[in-house]
Amino acid sequence: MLPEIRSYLDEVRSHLHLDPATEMQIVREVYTYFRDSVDELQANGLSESEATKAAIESFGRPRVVARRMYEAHSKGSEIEAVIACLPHFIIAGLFISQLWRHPFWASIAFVSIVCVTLYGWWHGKPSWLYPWVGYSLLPLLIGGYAAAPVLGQAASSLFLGRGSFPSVWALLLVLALIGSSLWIIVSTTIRVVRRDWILASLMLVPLPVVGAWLLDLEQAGGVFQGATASVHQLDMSMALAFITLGVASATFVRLRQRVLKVGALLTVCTIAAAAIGHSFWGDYGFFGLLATSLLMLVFLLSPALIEAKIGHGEQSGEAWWESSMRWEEALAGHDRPV
Amino acid sequence: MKDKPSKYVPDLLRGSTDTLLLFLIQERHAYGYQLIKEIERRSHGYFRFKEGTVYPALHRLENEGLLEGEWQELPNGQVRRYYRITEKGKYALREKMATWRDFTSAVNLVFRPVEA
Repeated sequence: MLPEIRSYLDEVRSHLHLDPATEMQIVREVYTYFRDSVDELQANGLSESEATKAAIESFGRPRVVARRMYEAHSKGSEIEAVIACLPHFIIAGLFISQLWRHPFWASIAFVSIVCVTLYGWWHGKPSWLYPWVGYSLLPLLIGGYAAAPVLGQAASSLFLGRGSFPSVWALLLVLALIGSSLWIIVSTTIRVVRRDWILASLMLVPLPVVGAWLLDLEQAGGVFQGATASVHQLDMSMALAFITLGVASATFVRLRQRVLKVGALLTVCTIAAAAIGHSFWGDYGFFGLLATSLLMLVFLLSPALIEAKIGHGEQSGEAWWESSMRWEEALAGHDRPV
Repeated sequence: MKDKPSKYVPDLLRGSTDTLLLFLIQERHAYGYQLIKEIERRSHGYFRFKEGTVYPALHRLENEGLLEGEWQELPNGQVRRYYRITEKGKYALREKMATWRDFTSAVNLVFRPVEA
């Protein structure tokens, strides 16, 4: 392949932000266009470099082509929008019914969410998947929260000489739990960011909400200390927050233009964060609201910084090109999104 | 046919790209480059699609279920992605063509000189 064409296709691919199978299909198809176009232009008397230049110019700017292709593929169906908001509504249901306090029902909800996540993850990672992935990561966050007191006990004993040092086995277990949870959350986030940072934001948005809730409960005596009046009061606020996130996810899936997707997600989630902060901490003033909104905004935008650092695509450039030019896979329909 | 299309053609084309593509694909299975050339040939060069708009349009029509794309290998070993119209696409094409006929008739009625 000519370097100019490869460089053009690389740039188109870097702005596609679609699932790997669709990206491969698009690049293969545009490549066939260049092959046909350059052949014809050469037959008309142009040199190879002139023909290549003319074909590339004729196709348009790579960013514009990538944006149009993104818009052709990005709009999910109504069913996909409903599936995308379901995990939010399941968790909202746990709070409305206060069933989150019952380990059996909470476990049933999370096991179901993890099963759907694994199904979607191994079946082409459709756009509805990412909210489910976010909720699948929640047990890891909650597990880390539950294990943190053992670390605190160890630190207090070691540095301040207060209390007894926990058993080595308990400490190792806690360290392994927190380490593996962090590893799963970070590696999943990086994999999603490699496809599209905005999907990572969509995925991670429940984590700060639940994190703030856990901190608030900690102040009220801890999640595992039993229900208190203030804990009850939070349940409806949490349910409303998750319903809002569900509506934001469904809107995200249905929108076609990327700029609107980003705008909708950032706006709704930032407002939701300010509302949650208000319900947790009461009237904490304009600057409190502003700080909560800004923190959420920075959190949602942080995957964009990670993407700028690690780049796009799960495979390195050379490996990706090798597999994308295996035409027998295309002929067998292997580049079709599942 | 005019040699150089007016500046208004892109606006008109934007609204009729889907209809033109569906119509040509209904006649026979075709691939992107072939469709661009065919539209240009039939319109005597009046319609010159920017290639970067045709492929996204094909993908959008495929996602809407109006077209189906499939990779095919030619006898010379080259591989191309051919599109064929679906039943839903045929129905949509009929609707679009009927709308187009009504629209052009209405425009022609407006353009007709007023009789004294």
